Amino acid sequence: MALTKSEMEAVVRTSFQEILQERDQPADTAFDMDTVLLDSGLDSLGFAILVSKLEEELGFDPFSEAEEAYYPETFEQFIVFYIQQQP
Amino acid sequence: MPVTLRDRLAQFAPDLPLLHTVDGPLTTSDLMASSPGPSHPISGGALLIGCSDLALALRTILQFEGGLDRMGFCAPTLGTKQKDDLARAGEFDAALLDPGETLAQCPSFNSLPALETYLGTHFSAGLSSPRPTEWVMTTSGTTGVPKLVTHSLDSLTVSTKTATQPAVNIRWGMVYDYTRFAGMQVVMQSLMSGACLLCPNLMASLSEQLAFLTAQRATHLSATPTLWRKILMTPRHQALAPEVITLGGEIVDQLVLDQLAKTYPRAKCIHIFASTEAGVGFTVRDGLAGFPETYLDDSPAGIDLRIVEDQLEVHNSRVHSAYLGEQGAITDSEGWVATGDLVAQRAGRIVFLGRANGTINVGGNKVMPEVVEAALMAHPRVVFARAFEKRSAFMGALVGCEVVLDQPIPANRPEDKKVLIGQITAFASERLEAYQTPALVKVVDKIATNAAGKLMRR
Repeated sequence: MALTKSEMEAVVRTSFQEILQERDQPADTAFDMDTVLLDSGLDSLGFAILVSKLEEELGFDPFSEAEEAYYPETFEQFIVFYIQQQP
Repeated sequence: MPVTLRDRLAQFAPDLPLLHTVDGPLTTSDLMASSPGPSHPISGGALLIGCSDLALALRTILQFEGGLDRMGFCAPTLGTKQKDDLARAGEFDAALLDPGETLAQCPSFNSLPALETYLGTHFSAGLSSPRPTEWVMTTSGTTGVPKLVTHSLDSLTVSTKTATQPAVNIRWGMVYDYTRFAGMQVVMQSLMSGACLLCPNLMASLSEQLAFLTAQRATHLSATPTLWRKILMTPRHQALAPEVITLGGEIVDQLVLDQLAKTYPRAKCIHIFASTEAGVGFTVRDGLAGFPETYLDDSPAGIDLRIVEDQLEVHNSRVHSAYLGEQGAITDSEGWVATGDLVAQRAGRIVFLGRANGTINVGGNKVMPEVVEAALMAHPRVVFARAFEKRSAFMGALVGCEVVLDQPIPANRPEDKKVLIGQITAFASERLEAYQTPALVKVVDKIATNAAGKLMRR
C-alpha cells in the first residue's frame, strides 16, 4: 500500500536518526522540509547510506530505479520523489 | 628545451593572472617573486609537499624544481602518522606542511623563507643550469601507506596542451586536491595554457565553493562523479556556466552524464580514464559511459590498451616501471600496466564493472572488503562476514555486508534482529573510517566459500 507524505516523512526521520546514532553524530539534529539535504548533518556518504537504509525499509530505491537521474536539494524534494516513485 | 615548470611559465607576461584564490589574483611574477634567477640555490635533496595552500606549493615548486632530486606530494588531509610513513618510504629530507603539523621523520616547514634557509644550508651548490627533478605522486591507498609513483614534468603533462598564446578566456575551477594525480592534471592544464586557475577554499562548504566559482566565472570544471552528484544537489548549482566539464577518478555512469548534459547544455562533457601508475590513458567525449571498443585498436592518445582476463591493461612508455622504494613493480616486462579494472564488451563499448581484487570504490575512496570483514568479525555475535560492493546512485558504490551469527534470532523476534544489526553496525563503525562503514548489514544463515574455505569474491 502506498504511503502518504506524512507516513513517508516519518520513515525517513526514523532512518535518519538511526544513521546519526550509528555514526556517533549528535542525534538531535533537526530538519524541516526546506532543509538542504547536504546541510542536514549527514554528508553525501551519510545521505547515500540513508537511501540504502530506506531501500531496506521500503523495498525500493527510487534513485537507482528511475529512468532519469534525479538529485534533490531539499528534504521536501527528497520525500516527494519517494512518494512519486512508489511501486 | 625547457625542463622545469618555471621555464614553461617564463613565456607568459609577468602580469598574467595564473591563479585566483579567495584572497585575490596572483600573476606570473607573484608566483615567481621569491625565485632568485638563473642559478639554482640548491642541488640535491628530496622535499615532501603536503600543505593545503596551493599558492605556497606552487611558489615552492617554482623555486626549487631543477635543484631538488625529487618532490613528493601527499594529501594535506592525510594523517600525521601516514605522512611520516610516506616521508620514510620516500626518504624525504624535509616537508612543507600546514602550520602546526610536524613530522618525526624529517624537519617540517610551513613557509618558504624557512624552507629556503634549511635547504640552502644542507643542499647548497649553485647549479648553473637546472636538471630534471622527479615528481613523486601518491596513490590513493587502501590500507597503510599509500604507494609512491615516480613521474616527471613530462609524464605529468603528456596530455596537456601547451598554448603559444595564453588562454585568457579559460578559467579552470579547482575543486580537487592538487596533490592527487587528477588534481595535478588540472593544475598543469591550467598553468601550461596560461589560463586562470580558480582556487576556492576547499575547507569551506560546497555551496561557498560553488558561489566563488560562479562569481569568478569558471569556464572549465573537473571533478569526480561523486562530487558532481553533490554539486547537482547543492542549491544554486544552476548558476555555474561551465563550457567544459570533465569527470574522472571513479567509474562514470550514464545517469550522471545525462544529468550534467541536461543541467549544463552548453558544456562539453568529457570523462577521463587515468591512474597514478599508468598516467593519463584516454578521454571519452561522446557523452556515453565506458569507451568505444575501437580504442583497443586505435587509442586516440597513442597509449595502447588491451584486455587480459577481463582486466584492462595500459601501455604508456613514459611511466616508471616500479614504485619508489621497496614497493614493487608497476609494469610487466613488456611495459604493460594492469589497471586492476574489470571490464566487459557490450554493444561496441567497453564498460567498467569494478575492481578485480574486490576493492570497493566509495566515492573515490578504496575499501578492501577484508578490512570491513575483520571489523565485523571482531563483534562477539558475528562468526563470519562478507563485504561486497553495493551500487549507489550517489557514491558510485557503498559497502554492503552479510553476517552469520553465533546463534539464530528467533523468527518471532524481528525487533531483536534490528537492534542487533544496529549494534553490529555501530561496533564496526568505531573500528573503521567513515567511508568503510557498512551501509547495509544483512543477517544470513551461511556465506558461500570455495573448497579452501575462502570467500568467493566474484
